[in-house]
Amino acid sequence: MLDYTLKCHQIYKKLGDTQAIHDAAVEFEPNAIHGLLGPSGAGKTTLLHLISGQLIPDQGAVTAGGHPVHENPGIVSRICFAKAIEQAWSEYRVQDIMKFCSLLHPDWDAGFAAEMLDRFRVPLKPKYKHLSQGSQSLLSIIKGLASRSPITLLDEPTLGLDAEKREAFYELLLSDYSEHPRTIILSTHLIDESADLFQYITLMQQGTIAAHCETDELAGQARYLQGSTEQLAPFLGDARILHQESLGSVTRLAWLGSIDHETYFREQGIEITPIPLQKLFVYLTRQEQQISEVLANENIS
Amino acid sequence: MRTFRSQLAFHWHENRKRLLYFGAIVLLLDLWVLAGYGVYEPENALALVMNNNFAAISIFILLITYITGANSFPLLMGLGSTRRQYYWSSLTYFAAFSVAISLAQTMLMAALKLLLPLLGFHLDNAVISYGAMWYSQSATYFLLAMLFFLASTLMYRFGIFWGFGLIAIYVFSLEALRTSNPTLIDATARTLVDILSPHFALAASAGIALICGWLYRSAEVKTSA
Repeated sequence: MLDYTLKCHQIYKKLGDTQAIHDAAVEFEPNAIHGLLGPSGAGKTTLLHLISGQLIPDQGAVTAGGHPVHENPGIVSRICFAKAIEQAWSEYRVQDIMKFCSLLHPDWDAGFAAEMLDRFRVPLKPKYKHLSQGSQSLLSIIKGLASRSPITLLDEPTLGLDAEKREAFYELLLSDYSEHPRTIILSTHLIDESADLFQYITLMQQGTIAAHCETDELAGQARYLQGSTEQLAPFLGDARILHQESLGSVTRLAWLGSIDHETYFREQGIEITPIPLQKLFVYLTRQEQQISEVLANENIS
Repeated sequence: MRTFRSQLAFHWHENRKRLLYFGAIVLLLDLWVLAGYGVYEPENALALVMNNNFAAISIFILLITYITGANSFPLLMGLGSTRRQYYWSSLTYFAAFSVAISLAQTMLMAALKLLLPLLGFHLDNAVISYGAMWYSQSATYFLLAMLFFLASTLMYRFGIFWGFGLIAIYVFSLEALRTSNPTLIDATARTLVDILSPHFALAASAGIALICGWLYRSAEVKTSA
């Protein structure tokens, strides 16, 4: 298998008057599932467009295996970007879209695509614009997985899917990935649901990469400290606190970074528990400036 | 090479149904023109059919070039093509389409010239050079395709104002430059080929194709709906 290590080299991109991407630098480890997280408007979709070569960076470059992506047919054809809503597909029937995919994706798995269409009951005859939002998302998912592209980008793939179909998608993604390992970058807002999929997490804020690390590493660095307000009072000004809440005499701190006297804390009756990824993400996006400093100091990113 | 063939197959697959419906409609229109008008002006029957077909083909070219510029570009980019691949495959498709549709039109003229006298039509005795007809029509349709391709490219990249602006300039320039008052039965009198000979039309097409190529070098897929 060819090495398709994907790297963004200090990318800048302006869309209209908005600086959508600002000094974004990140290296996506090959053959892993990456979660691309960030609040709405953080630049996730723009970054995926840049990676796929559909947008051209104002500055910087995207490379795959050391080769530039921009206008490189050997690389671009090996990148599949599946969007939740494909405007360009609106006027085509599902069967035509599948035909186009089979013509243009060099490793297209037609058998797998047919099986998935059947399994998810996506009809072949209607035009794309007449499908439900869920079926449109499923079609994008099928495109992404059946392309067998070494680099697969999935932008909000679960948009409009009900809980059962989302669960089916997560299972399908994992089983397909285990059979056909490749680099998958998945942007989503449903973090808790999909957290178990991600081997790496890339956090975007205001157009830049705020953090990129292994999921376990990030989760391991973030913990709740819960105890009496009196016990935790000396730490309240610490830069590593992402969030604090008090109820009566009990205080809970969301802490990012190493804890110097963990044993001592436990002996004092302070509970130390992991922070769910969704909560961590919310805290991180609230405290962007502070986080950058902490992450830099803790060598997380 | 395989990718190029796949992209040509894409263009063919994208337009084949439209082409089928279009062909059927044009033949019906031709029958209607012959039955409704040709019988009263049998000497002009061929010119009437040609005029009718020219208008229909021009409209069809407008349709497919608009779809190629506005829709096929993001579609192909989303399916792993580069801008250069899209540009060359589109250009090749338009050239092949122009040559093929002109050939079909020329063959229709040849067939009608043989068949209509058998049905009692007294055609004029003008000698038709089928090779020249094929060539001049190919040049005409390719020039139209390039102009509309440029218009749809401008519309996609810079908004509808630029595309319509180009069409307006085209129409006004024809109005200003045409040498003789066109008659209704002279199909080519309303085009640039009436003013420039076919090989100049091909040169103009090449120039417009270069402009399109330049525009596509930095074209981006629209990221919002």
